[in-house]
Amino acid sequence: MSCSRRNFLTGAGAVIFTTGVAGTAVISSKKTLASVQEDGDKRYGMIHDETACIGCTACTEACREVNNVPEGVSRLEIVRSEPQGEFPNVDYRFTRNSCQHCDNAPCVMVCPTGAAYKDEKTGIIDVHQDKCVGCGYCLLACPYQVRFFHPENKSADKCNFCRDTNLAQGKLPACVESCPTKALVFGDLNDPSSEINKVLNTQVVYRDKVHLGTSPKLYKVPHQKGEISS
Amino acid sequence: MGNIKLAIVIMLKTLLAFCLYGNSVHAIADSNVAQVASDSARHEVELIRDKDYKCVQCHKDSKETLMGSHGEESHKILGRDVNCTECHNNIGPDHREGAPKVTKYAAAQSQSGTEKVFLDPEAILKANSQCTDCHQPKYLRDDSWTHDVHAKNLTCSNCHDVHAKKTKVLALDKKERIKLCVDCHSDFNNNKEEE
Repeated sequence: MSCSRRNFLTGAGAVIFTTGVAGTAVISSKKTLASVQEDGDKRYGMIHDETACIGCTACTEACREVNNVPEGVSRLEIVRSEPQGEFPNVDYRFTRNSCQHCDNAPCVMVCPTGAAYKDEKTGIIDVHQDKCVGCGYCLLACPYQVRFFHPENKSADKCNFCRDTNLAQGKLPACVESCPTKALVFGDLNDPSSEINKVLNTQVVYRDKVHLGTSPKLYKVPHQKGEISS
Repeated sequence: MGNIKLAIVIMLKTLLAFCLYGNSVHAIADSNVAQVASDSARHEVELIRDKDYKCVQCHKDSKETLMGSHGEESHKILGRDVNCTECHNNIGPDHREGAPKVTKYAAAQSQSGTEKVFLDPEAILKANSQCTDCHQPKYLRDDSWTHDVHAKNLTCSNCHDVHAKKTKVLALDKKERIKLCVDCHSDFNNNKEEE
């Protein structure tokens, strides 16, 4: 039985075509409104609006409660600048420091056990707690210095956009829910009609340390006074 | 006649004798006082009058409650009590008919809220100067950065009450303090969106 090059390629093409179509059909059949995470091809991102943030740290506390983060460590911090201006017109700039969910994440690249990973369905960077051996490579590799060892389970920990808590229940991340001034916008960067894309298309934004090539997904609307320190 | 003369002479002599004796008694009394005074140290004049006496007759526990915040602390700095009229000045003659003139302290903010009183920023700054004359901004900043951003936007009374030891914000833990921020800011954020 002879198999010419031409026959092989057409055969292979047909196989790829049929399985490909069937594959997408299976994925699209899973689509329901309730299970946000089972929708494929999401790219979750966040915007922190520094012009709206008042530095109350309600987000930090909400995150602590929802994700069971003990005192002493935190998945997200609000960094307050030095005072700007003179009394009685003093102002501060507040900026969010938390996992940027880099598309090109250094923590994932250095992890020797595959504990740090990027969830391809949502674009969220997360940690398999049972795979983490606590070597600390990821803590050092992260240019944003947002990873820490969880004092209870000793594995590397950080923001995962409430992937296993609020997001799994179909709610917004705890920080977004708790913000009194709506300074946080969370959504799918792949969806052109999402709120996050609307803001990105109308506001001036920046991201921290873009020059490192990490492609972070935490955008910030800059405070209107003083220097932006990214 | 001789008897009468003798009687007059005796009367005059006894009168003279009494006068001399009386004078000497007086002189002794004087000299005693002088001796006692020279023994003790120089007498110090003290102001016995309590400036707050009349206020406390009606505002019975106000002085006591003030001691919680301005008692020991004010003695450390001023070396004396803070008096009622240092904060509540302008007591008018019609003080008992609603006291319209006296300086009072109440919560107000520069953005309209559902339950809060609105006051424009300049008026708030002026009202707060009653406190910031002593509690200077640079020290307030060290205590909390929130003083800075609210200098023109909130009266001190929103978060503080001096007539008690630990009241309002000072009595709250971290979470309750955050709730204080959240309640106010979400309120006027919602109001803005409704407009």
